[in-house]
Amino acid sequence: MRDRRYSPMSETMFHILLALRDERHGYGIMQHVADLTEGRVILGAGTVYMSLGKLESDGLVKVTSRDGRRTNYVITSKGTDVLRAEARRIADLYRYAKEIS
Amino acid sequence: MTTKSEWFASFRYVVPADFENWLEAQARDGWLCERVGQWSSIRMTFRKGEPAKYRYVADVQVHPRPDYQSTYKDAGWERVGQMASETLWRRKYEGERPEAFTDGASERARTHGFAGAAGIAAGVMAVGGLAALWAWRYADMSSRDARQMLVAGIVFEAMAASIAIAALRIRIKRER
Repeated sequence: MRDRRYSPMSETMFHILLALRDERHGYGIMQHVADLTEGRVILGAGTVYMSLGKLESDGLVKVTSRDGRRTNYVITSKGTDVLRAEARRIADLYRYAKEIS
Repeated sequence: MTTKSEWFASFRYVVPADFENWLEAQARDGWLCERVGQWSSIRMTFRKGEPAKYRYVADVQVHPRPDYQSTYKDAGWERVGQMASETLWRRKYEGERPEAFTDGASERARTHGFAGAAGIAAGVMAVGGLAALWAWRYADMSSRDARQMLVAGIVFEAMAASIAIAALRIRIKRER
C-alpha cells in the first residue's frame, strides 16, 4: 500500500516504524535505532516524540500500554503495509543505483 | 549565592535557536538558568556557578501527550521549567552538542509551533487593543478614563505588532 504522505519516507519515520515491529516506548526506539545503525542514526527526543504523534494520528502506529509516564507503541497493519512499500521502493532504488558502480 | 536577573529575554531572543544559544553562552560564562516559570518571559534568574557546557532546548507543546516528559527525561534531558506552552530543557555535555530535533521535519514543526503561538498572542493583543480603542472612541467615560483607554489601546496594538513581527522572524529566519 502506497501512502503519498510517506512515499518517499524520511529516514526518521522509516527507522521508527521499523523499530515498532516490536512494542517500544520513545526512548526504547532511540536506543534500538542507535544500536541497529551502530550510532550512525541518533534520533533526538523531540523528533521521536513529534514523529510518534504524527504516526499515531495517521494510523500507522498505535498505543499499546502506558507504563507509568512511559507510553508503549507498536506498528499497525496499515503501518506495516506502508513500511513494506517503502522498503520495496528503497530496494528498487538500490537495484538501479548498483548499475552505476 | 550570587544571582542576576535578565529582563524580557524571551522577547529579545524570539527565535528559539537564538534563545538557546544565548542561554548556552550564559552557562559557558557560569550563569546557570536552572528554573523557569510562567513569569520568566519577563524576568529570568541566573545563578553564578562553574562555567559549564549545557545544551538548552525550547519546545512548544500546547497539549502534550502523557509520554512527553518521559521521552525527554529518559534521553538525559532535564526539565528546566515551563513558560506558557513553551517547555525549556537542558542537558550537560562534553564533546558533541546534543540535539533534541534531529531531522528537518521535526525542526520545522517546532519552528511553526513557536510562530503559531506568537501569532495567537499577537491576535489576542490586537483584539484587546481594538477593544480599548473602541471604548476610547465610543464609550461614555470621563476624559481621564478615555485617555487611559487610548494609551492602553496604543500600547496593546504596538505589542501586537511587535509580536507579529517576531512570529514572522521565527518563520523566516533559518535555524542555527
